[in-house]
Formats: sequence, C-alpha cells, structure tokens
Amino acid sequence: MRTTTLLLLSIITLHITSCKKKESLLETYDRGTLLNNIANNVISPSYLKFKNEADSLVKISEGFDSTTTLQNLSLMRNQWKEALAAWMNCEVYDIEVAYALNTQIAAFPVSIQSIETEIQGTHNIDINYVAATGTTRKGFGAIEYLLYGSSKTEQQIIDEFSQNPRRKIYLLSLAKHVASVANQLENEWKNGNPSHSHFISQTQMDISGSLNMVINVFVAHIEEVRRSKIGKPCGIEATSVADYSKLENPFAPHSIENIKSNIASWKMLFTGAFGIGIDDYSDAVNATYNNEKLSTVILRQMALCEMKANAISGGSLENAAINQPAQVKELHLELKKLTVLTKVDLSSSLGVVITFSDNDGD
Amino acid sequence: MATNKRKSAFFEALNTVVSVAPIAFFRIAFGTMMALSIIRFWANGWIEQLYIKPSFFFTYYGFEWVKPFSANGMYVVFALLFLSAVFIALGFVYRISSVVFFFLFTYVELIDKSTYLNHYYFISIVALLFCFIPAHKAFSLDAKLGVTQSANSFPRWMLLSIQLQMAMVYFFAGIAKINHDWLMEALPLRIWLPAKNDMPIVGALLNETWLAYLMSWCGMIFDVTISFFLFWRRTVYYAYAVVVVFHVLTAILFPGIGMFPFIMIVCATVFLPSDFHSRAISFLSKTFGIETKAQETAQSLVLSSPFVATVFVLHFCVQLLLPFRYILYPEKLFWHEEGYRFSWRVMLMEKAGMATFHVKDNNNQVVEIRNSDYLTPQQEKQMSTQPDMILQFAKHLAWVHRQQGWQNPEVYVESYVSLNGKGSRQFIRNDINLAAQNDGFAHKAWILPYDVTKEKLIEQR
Repeated sequence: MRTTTLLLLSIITLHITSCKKKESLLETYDRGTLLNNIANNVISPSYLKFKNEADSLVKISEGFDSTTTLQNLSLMRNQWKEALAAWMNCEVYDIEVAYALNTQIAAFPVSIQSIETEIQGTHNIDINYVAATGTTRKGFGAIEYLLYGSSKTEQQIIDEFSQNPRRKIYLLSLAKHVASVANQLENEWKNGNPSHSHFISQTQMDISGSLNMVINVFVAHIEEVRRSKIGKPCGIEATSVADYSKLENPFAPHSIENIKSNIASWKMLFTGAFGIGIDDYSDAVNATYNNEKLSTVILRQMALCEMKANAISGGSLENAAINQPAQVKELHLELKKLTVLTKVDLSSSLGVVITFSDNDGD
Repeated sequence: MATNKRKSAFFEALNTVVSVAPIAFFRIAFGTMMALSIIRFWANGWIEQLYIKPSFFFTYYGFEWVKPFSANGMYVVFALLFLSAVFIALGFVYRISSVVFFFLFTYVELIDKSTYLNHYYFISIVALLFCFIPAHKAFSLDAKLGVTQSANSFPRWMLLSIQLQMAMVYFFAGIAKINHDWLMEALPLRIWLPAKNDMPIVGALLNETWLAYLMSWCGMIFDVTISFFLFWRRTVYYAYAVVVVFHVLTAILFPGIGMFPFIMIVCATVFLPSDFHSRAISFLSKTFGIETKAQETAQSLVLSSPFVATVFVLHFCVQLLLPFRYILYPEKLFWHEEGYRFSWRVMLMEKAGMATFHVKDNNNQVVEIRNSDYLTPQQEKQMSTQPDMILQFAKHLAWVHRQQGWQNPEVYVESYVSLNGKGSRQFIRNDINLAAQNDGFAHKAWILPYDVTKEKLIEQR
C-alpha cells in the first residue's frame, strides 16, 4: 500500500515538474510542425523576396542599358544592394535545390581580368553564355565590379559603359542570370513544389533528415562566414596582413552589410521567424548551457555578433580590416564562439549526425 | 597433491567432448554474416570513402607502418575478405581461409582508428580464435573432400572459448554502463531517443524521459546478466529470446550501428543446446541436398597442443585485463578516453567537439587550418573529441608545413568538447605546441581535466 502511494506520488510530482518545463511553443519534439514553419515562414518568403529584388534588378538594368546616366547608375547600385541583401538572407539554406547553387551567383573574389577579357572578346554574350561561364566572372561580385570598378569615379564608370555596348550587355546578362537562379529557387520552394515537399517530408533525424541537414548547413555557414568573409581577407586566419581584395564586395565596398544580413538570417532560421523554430526544439529537448537554456545563450551570442558587426568603424569592413584590426578580431572571436555553441552544443544536444557510416555511438 | 588433482579435473572438464554441431553451425553463421557485411560495406561505397579517399590516416600507436594499398589494392583486399568469409562458411580450405580472413580483416581495421568499432574488434578476435579451432571437422567441404578427417565431437574448451568471448562483450558493455550519467541521468539515451520520435506506433513514447531511464537501466541489467542466463541450460532459450528482442530493438532505434545487432543475434546461438544446431544443420543439408556422411569415420578431437592451450589462456587473461587498463589513468575516462577503446564500451556517450588548429613558425608566419582540407567529415568528427587523434593530426600538420618549407612549425589547437550535452568546455591546452609532444601510453598532461575546465567559453552574464 505504502509503495503504491509513494509510486503514485512520485508519478504526480514527475508529471507536474515535466509540465512546468513546457513553456516553449513546441509541446513535444514535433519536427513536422517545425519543418513546416521553417519552410513556409522562413525559407519560402526569403526566396520570394530574393526573386522580387532580382527581377527588379533586371528591370533597372534594362533601363540602364537604354539610358546610361549617372542617375540610373545610382538606381542600379541601390538595387544591386537590395538584391544582394535578399540573397544574403538565403545563403545559409544550402540544401535541396539550392545545394551548391550559391557558388553560381555569389562566389568571391571575382576575377577582374577574366571579366574584362569576356567583355573584350567577340563571342555572343547572353544569359546562357553567362550561365555556362566560370564562377569568378559572374554573379553579384561581377555586377559589383562593373558598377563600381576598381577606384573609378562614377563618370568614368558611365563612360566605360557608354563607349562599349558589350559592357552593358554583359551587365544585363549577369543580372538576368542572377534573376533566373532566383526564380528557379523561389519556384522550387513554393508550397507543393519539389524542394518544399521534400523538405517537410523528411522528418527523421538522420543524415538525410531535414532538421539534421538544416542544422548542419547552419553551422557550416556560420563557420564559413567567419573564415572566408572575415578571417581570410582580414589577415586573421593566415599571415597577419589583411588582403582587401579577398573580401566579398570590396569595390562597393559593401562586405560588412552582407555579414549583417547573414546574421539576421541565422536569427530568422533559429527562431523560425519568431514562430516555431530550432530554439523551441532545443528547449523541448531541454538543451542547457551553464544552467541556462542553450537557445537563450545562442540568441544572446547572435545579438553580440550583430553588435560587433555594427561597431565596425565607418560601417566598412574594407576600412576596418586595414585600420581597425582589433574591431574585426572581436567580431571574428564572437563568431567563433557562436560556432562552438552551434557546432558542439546545439548539435550534440539535438543528436545531429554529420556522416553516413556505422557508429558505436562513440 | 590436492591442487594437482583439482587442476587435472579442471583440464579434464575443459577437454570433455561435446557435440561438434554448435561450432560447425557457428562457423557457417559467422562466415555468412561476414560475407554479407562485406557486400554491404562495398555497396555503401565505404571502401572508397574510408580507405581510398582520405589523404591522411590515423594509425594506431605502434602500428604506424600499416598503410592502405592503392585503390585497386584495397578492392582486392576486400574481394579476398569476401572470398575467405565464404570459404569459412563452406569450410573450404578452412585452415588457410581463417588465417587469411583474420589477417586481412585486422589489417583493414588497423589502417585508420577513426573507423574503430567495437564489433569490428569482436570480429577480429573471433577470427583469431578460428585460426586455432578446427571448425572445419564437420559439415564442411574440407571434411567432405577428405582434406581433413571429420569429427563428430570436440573438446569443450573450443566451444567454451567462443562462448566466453561473447559473454565478455556483454558483461563489459554492462559494467561500463554503471556510471552516473547513464543510470542517474539517462544520458545519452535521453538525447538519442527523442530524435527517433517519428517512428510508427511507439514514436510518441520516445519523447518520455521515464522511457530513457527505463531503457538505460534495462540495458545495463541486460548486458551485465545475460551471459549467466545464456550459460545456464534451464534459462538459455528464454535468454536467447531476450537477446533477439534486445538487439532487434537497438537495430530499429539506432540504424547507425549497422550489422552489430544481427551479428550478435547470430553469434549468440553458440549458447544454445547442441540439438538446436544439429537440427539446423540437417535442415540446411536437406535444403541444399548435401548429405552428411561424416558421421561414420568420425573421431573425437582432444586438445593436445600445450602451445594452443597457452595461447588461449594468455588471450583470455589479456581480454579480462584490457578493459580495466583505464584505471591506470587519472581523471575522467569519458573525457580523455585514455584506455577507452578495446573495452566493449558501446553506445555510451554523446560527444561532440570542434578543434581549430594554428600552425606558426619563427618568422611569425601563422595559418589557421581548414580541417576539411586534410580530413574526411568522419575523420574530423572522431579527431575533434579524441586527444590521441588531435595529437596525430597536429604532428601531420607540422610535417606538411615542413614539407612546404616552414622552419620549425609549431602547432596549437583551440578545442571545445561537449560530453552528453552538458555544455562545451575547453578540451586541450591551447598554449602547448603539439608538434613537440610525444604519443604513447603515458597520460597526456596537456588534456585539460574535465572538472577544472568548468569555466566555460562564455561566462554567464
């Protein structure tokens, strides 16, 4: 009798304590709901925005093609920034149809010489030609080079375009190519289309499961931003000399804005656009760090990265890389901490796997 | 005198004759499982992925000379492995097949410790025992073709040695589970089970914490006690049924553990009474239309070679001691993993890490390493949580940079590891030039102690 009472009591206590914990949006570890929210409210809208901005870029390019004026150049530059920012919000989703597509439109650094060679050549330039050409001569970086040049005045840029119609055709084709990629991505991620349906159907937590994949690309992207966009060009990763030309968008210059957009996209993904996100799943499995919710620590770390990115002097990574290396190092360090929190803590708390082969469970 | 008598009674007991059927059945089952495993391994592209693609291999200490062959060579090795496994099953040129299988399998396992699995180790050991057990004396092509004289009974010790080896796997896996995290916190099962909650029917249950506790405790009790029930004639059938249920469950829940559950289910038949094997074999003979005339000329085999006896005694002494070698190392075993391998510690912890290497030289030249330039994802994952592999990789990086003309390159690592989801901590001292450290069996003093590294990466704010 006594044992039964004890057992009942302990079950009740257990029940109460377990109920208390569930204050997150996810009642259970329901990956289906989570994936649906990420697909519908995070990924699809990001691609839709990117598609719209890329389509606008084409329209404005067409205007610039017919009326090559300083005013239109300024419109072009602004729209390039808008489209680029929209892409930076999508860059992390290196999954499904997007897999490896980012190198098609956002490889860096681009090759100035190759771009000039293309323009000086005689072959017919159109979107198909651009689609087939090498990654260092197309995409956002190539458009940037054409629009900003390497230390040229705006008038010089306009003159270059006016004197050489091939330059304008190349620019227009580059914009069209970016837009075609954007349209392809947006379409694939429409509700019911292949990438979208495949993504929400893979609810299992193995190497091919969507949550597993999305966390792996999330971690990889954080690491890649730190290394390729900051560490390498700013002389933190190799040697101690900054190499301005290895930055993502050195001509505009615009590199820090990309990083800010990237960080914003991580926040969107992690919080599920402030709906049901990875943070809720992490809370549901009771992931903690230093007696705090791991999700809270990660969000705080993202905010810190954001702060350090905003603090880069004059809003220019190009300038800071040379003149304020300490500021850049701080950003680099906070991003590294974010990598540890996601790659080590988040992955292991959620049971994420990174390879397909037999294991002993370590 | 009395001790001598007892001693001889002991050896007599070991040499009592038992039916040959269990060993023969085991040989057929083991050979078949191995052949299937190798087909699976090949079909999954793992020969390429694990032994051809990598540019660097984590060899075992003392076995640095073990190197993979060229791509074609590795395929030949696996083809030979497959053939010898089939031959073992058939009992064809068994004496040679068993030795070939043992050496090739062990060779492959020694190439890279990032592929270490306890069940591969188990297979190597069984293959080694097979080299000394004439398991081809019955129900084999060798016996049928007259290559060897057939036998219908065996000395008990041959059967016993295989049973004992099986028992040790379970028992040591069981006592390894007697630790705070496993029993009192249901870790890592509490992390792993919810990840499988999309399974049909039972899926929702896997979210429950109590289930993780129940499974942790049952798993421990199963592993520790099952061998005793398998050895006991009165319970063996029930125990075997439990073995099947247990392994089928683990196979469903953790598909990542691959062939292990199936190999254990098949191998555990070695505990069943011999009439099971006789019936199984005669069923097989009938199905494949093979007559088993071996019985008429059969002999009884008795252990005679003192050499073989010594080998077996030594082997089991080593087997008994090896899992306890961790006692010789200070601090937390799961953290530093010194004395962790070769001890039947299976599915015990969830460990993840990140290791960032910097190579420096006298001229202030410094470079941060991209691990993926040198390692496969599997190698990188294993390396980042195991100090001996971190050291090996650091030394490799020093070597590579020396080749590139760097003067006295120094290698430093910044590493963080999380054990059972308890928060990442710094793992290795970041002020130690790893290129100047020596590998060996001594404790690696540059591993930060688990409890001291509590001050974590990010302080509470």
